[in-house]
Amino acid sequence: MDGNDEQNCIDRVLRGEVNAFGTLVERYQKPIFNLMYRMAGSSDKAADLTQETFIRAYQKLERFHPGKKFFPWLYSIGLNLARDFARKKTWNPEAGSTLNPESFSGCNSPGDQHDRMCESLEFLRLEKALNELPLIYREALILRYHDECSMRDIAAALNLSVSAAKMRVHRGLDMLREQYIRRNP
Amino acid sequence: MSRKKDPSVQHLRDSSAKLDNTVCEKDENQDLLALKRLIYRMPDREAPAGLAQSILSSLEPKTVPGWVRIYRWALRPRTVTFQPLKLVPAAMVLLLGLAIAFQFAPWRKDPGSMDPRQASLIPVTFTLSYPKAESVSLIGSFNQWNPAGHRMRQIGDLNTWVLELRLPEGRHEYAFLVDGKMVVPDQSSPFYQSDGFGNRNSVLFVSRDEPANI
Repeated sequence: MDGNDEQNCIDRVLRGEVNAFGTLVERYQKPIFNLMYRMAGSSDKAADLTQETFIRAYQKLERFHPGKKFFPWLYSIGLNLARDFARKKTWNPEAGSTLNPESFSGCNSPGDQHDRMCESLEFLRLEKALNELPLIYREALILRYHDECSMRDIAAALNLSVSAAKMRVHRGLDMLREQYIRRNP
Repeated sequence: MSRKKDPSVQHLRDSSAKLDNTVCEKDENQDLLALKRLIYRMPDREAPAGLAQSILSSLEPKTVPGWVRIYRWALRPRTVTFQPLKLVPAAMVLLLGLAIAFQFAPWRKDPGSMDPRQASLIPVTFTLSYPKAESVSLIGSFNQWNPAGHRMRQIGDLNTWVLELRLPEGRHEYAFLVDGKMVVPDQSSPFYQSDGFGNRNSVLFVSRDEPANI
C-alpha cells in the first residue's frame, strides 16, 4: 500500500465508510501492538492500547495532513498513549519477553534446537537491553532498524526534527551497545 | 632514579596504541553492526486475532463538514507531468488570450478619448494675412516665445497663414515672427501690450465660453 492508497482510504473514511479504515488497521496493527507490548508487557493490555490508538486516530482523522505518511502520525498517537500508560503503571520487563519456549519444540534435531535456543536467548538479551533505554531512544532504534523507517518518518513519529532523530538513533545505538555488553560481559 | 626513554621503544608503544585503537574501533563497529542485525531480526508478536474487527465495530461512521473535505482536497499534493510538445498549443492559446485581454484592457487608451489635461485646453485658431511672407511662426507666452514647432501653414491663394493650437484658459501675449526676423503683431486683436523693446504684442483672453478664432 503506498501513500496514494492510504490517502484514498482516509478520504473514504471521511465520506463515512468505516470499513475503509479496516485497511489501515490491518496494515499497521502489528507494529502498534508490538509498541504497546513493549510498554505494557501483556497481550491483553497491549491489545487495549492498540485499540485505543486506532480509535483516537479515527477520531482525529480529519486533522491528518494530506500528503504526509499515515504510519508516523499513527505511531506518534500510539507513543503518547504509551507514555500516559507508563506514567500510570510500572512496566514489568520480564513479562514483555518475546522468548517463547514453544518455538524450540518444532526443531528436527538437537543441533537445530540448540541454535534456536541460542538465538532466542540473544533476542531476550536484546529486549532486556532495549527496555533499559529511555522510551524515545528505544523507539527510535526499533523504527530505524526493525521497521526500516526513514529518518524523516522517525522524526515525524517522535515529534522531533530530522537532525534530532538522527542523534537519538546514533546515541540510542551507543547506549544499547553499553547495555548489551554490560549484560553479556 | 629516572630512566631515560628509548625512542625506538616509545615508537613501538605508540604504534601498538594506534593499532589497539584501530582494533577497538573495528570491534565497536562490528558490535554495532551485529546489534543492528539483531534488532532487524527481532521477532514480532502477532496482534490478537479479531483485534481489527473489534476496533472497527467500535467506530461510528464519520460525518465531516463539506468545507473540511474541500480544505483537505486543496491541501493534497499532486504530481503534474507534461510533455513540452503538448505545451505548444496551450502556450499559443494562452498568448492569444493575453493579446485579446490586452486589447480590451481597461488601462488601455481609447484612441478617440483625450488626455484630461488636453481636454481642459481650448482650441484657438490663429490667422495672419501676409502675402509677401516666406514663412511665419507663432511666438507667445504659451511657448516661451520660441518659434520652433509653431510654424504656421499657408492656405492656398489667399496668402493667409493659419495655425490651430489648444491653449489653457486665461490671458496670453503673442505675435507673429515673419521670415524668422520680423515680429508682427496681430492686427485683428483688440488688445496690445508693449514688450518694453519698442514692439507691441497682441493680447488674447481665452475663455471656455467664447471659442477664439483670431
